[in-house]
Amino acid sequence: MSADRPRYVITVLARDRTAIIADVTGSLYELDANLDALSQTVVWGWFTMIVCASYPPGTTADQIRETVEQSCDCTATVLPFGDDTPIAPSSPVAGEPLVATVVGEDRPGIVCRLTRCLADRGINIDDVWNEVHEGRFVVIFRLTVPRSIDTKALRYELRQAAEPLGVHITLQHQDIFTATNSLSVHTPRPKGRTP
Amino acid sequence: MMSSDDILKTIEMIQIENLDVRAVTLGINLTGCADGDRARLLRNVRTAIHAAAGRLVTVCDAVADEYGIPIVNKRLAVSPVSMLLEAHDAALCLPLARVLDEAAGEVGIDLIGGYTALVQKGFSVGERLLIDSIPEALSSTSRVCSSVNVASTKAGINMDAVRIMGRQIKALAEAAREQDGFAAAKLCVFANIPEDNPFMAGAYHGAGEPGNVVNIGVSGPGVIKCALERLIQTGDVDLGRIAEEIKRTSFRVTRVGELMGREVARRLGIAFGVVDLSLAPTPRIGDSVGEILQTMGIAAIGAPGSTAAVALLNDAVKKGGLFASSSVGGLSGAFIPVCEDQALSHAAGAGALSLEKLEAMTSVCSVGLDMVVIPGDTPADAIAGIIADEMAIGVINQKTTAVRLIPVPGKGVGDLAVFGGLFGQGHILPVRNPGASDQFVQFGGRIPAPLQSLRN
Repeated sequence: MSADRPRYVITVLARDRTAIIADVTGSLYELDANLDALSQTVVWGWFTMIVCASYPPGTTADQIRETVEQSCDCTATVLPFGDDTPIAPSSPVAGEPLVATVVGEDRPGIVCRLTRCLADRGINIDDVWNEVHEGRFVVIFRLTVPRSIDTKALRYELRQAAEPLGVHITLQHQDIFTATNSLSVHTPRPKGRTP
Repeated sequence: MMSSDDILKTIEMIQIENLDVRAVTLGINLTGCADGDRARLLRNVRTAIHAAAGRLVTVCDAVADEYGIPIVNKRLAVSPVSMLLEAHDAALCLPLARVLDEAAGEVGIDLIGGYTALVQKGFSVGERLLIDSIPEALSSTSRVCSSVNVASTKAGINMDAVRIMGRQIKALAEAAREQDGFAAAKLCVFANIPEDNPFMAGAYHGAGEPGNVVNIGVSGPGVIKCALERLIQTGDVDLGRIAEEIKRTSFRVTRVGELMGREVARRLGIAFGVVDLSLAPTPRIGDSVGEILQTMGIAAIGAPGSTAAVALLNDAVKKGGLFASSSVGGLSGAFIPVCEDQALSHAAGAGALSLEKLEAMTSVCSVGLDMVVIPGDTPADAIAGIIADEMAIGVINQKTTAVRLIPVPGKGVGDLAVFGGLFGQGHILPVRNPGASDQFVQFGGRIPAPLQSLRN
């Protein structure tokens, strides 16, 4: 799309139901939007979606929010994308893709304390999700760990942090999961970097 | 996008089911070390080993830490040592074996293979010197492993070499009498020896290999056993589905080896050779090929059906591995080393698994009569007869077969021989009709190459 079309980032939160994506994207199309990027997920019956879209000049954030909220029973937030926002990188830091898996009894504070431990070391969480798997509470973090961090030491520190919480944490290179579960041996890296 | 299920299953394979990289074996070409001067030759060998392998352990440990998967063994495999002996006499053998032993120890390696001779068609001077020195060289060093190739599909079976090896195995075991003949566990007699096998005791660096090369041995019998148990619990299973599950699991295991092996090779700046996707058991419970056979419904290993079960397993492992990697080599299949596998060892001790049934199973497994303990008073020519039988299976079926027998000095049928560590223990199996084939063995000469050799 042409550069003079303003771009917005839109989030939608609603009870999940059939046709919700059709309704929301229909409301965007109504204002002649072009979808640039989209992602959605459902957590315990709650639907959430984040969309980047560009609009005809003059379209305002309030206009977009009202149209979206009228299309379905949802709460929408609309912000200008910002001219200086870089497009694309999935992780704001460079490093190796690792996966931390936490397994144990559910209790308050697990995610908060472990994520603080990661944040203090400059490790970015690219993705996180949790579920109950065969009766166990499981949280999985996809991380980008700066190369300056020693994996062995990090593994030890995370285990120390996890122990008082009554959970077990495993830190593996993402390539191991890619190699054993997909047709590729390596996890795709950003261009210019060889694994 | 990975699912939680994929991630948790992989973690379970590593933490509970003993998935690891069993061996990173660095192949080193030592032929450039040849020298007419004995002292210079020995110095060259030590220097070459340090230069090639000085960083091997450090790099393997770093890669294992980074990927969170253990690399259990780091080994060296050198080009056949017999080549270095060609212009020398017997006085060089022992010093050379000791230098190999010491240099391996200095770079933090527990086993070094390549005290090797390839004599399927006949002996050179160096090969004969090496074979004659085996009992002393292996019993006076701790890390050196030896292999002698006495047969191939192209050449037939060198029965003179077979007979000599019968004597040398017995002499080697006798030289290690106090350790139940353990030194014989470091010697393999081969037909169709592979040039890139990373597993000991049969690893050596073949003539067709690059200068130096990193070969990887993956294993994972525990992973396959657990996968089959899960499948069987579903109740919806037949042998086709069992084969499919083995194949898929072998794929996963091979992939881990390929990933980590290439990384080790890259960091060492050495060529990556092959992934050998063999199922190599250890005496640990849950790390056993025998347990896989039991999971497949062979309650007493050695019972009718055992050979078919090994055939299914061996074939499915190869198929899964082949799809996972374009660099599959070595032996790549199921090993059945009796003492090193607690379920096989137990079956032998209980009388379910005989030497003859083991021999049948080796015709469809990836190696041969491996880590089998026999009475110490078995005549050398009877041992040679066992070797000849096993070599015939390899030659006719165009596959690798090997013999690693330990005639335990002073012990007889049913006695327990204990080696410890990865080498395990086992009850001594009877050798039937010893002496009744001596004349055949004593004829000597060469059993001609079979029809299968004429493939051009």
